[in-house]
Amino acid sequence: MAELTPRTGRLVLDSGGISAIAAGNGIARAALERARREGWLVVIPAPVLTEVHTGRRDHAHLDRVVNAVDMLIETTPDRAKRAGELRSKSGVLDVVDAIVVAEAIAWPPALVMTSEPADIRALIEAAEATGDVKVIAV
Amino acid sequence: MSTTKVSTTLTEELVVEAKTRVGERGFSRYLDLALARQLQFDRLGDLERELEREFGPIPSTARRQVDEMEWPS
Repeated sequence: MAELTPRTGRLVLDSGGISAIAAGNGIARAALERARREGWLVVIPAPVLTEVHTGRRDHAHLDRVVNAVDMLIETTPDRAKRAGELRSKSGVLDVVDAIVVAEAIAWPPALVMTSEPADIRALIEAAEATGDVKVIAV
Repeated sequence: MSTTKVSTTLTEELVVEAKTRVGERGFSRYLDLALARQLQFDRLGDLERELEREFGPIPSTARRQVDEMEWPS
């Protein structure tokens, strides 16, 4: 779906962002509402689902958010390599966080809604994309 | 994802403008993307209403904080 947004900003959700929306977090809800109002496209990199999907019924409240977004980005080999570079350069070990940022910087401007702002910011700094990609900490 | 052929009526000026932008061959894809975008807009609106029923209105402090954030453009 990457080609969906060549002219528009994207709001990328990581698992913390999805959880915060599902839990009714005020900042997360307000950001989602502003994004919708201003025409940002909301996307979830598919690997984020590894942190969300347990196979048990206890993730139904998270599924509600994932299903409402329903724009999953599949990771291409190029994007995976870029994530690897950012991971190596930043020292952030989390693979999914690196993929989230690799997707965010691929189509700027972008926002990342996350509960791990320090790691996400470190990855964005490694990509030298601090002007194009902002973090919404929830 | 599978595809389906539909017959529908569209506003002529919009069709002309879209085809000028993306060409005859890119038109279906363009329409598909517009539909995906609109459907997400509607689904997220539904979600916002559900969350409001469940958790109450978005606190004004959170709304103000988010509205004051400088988002990239």
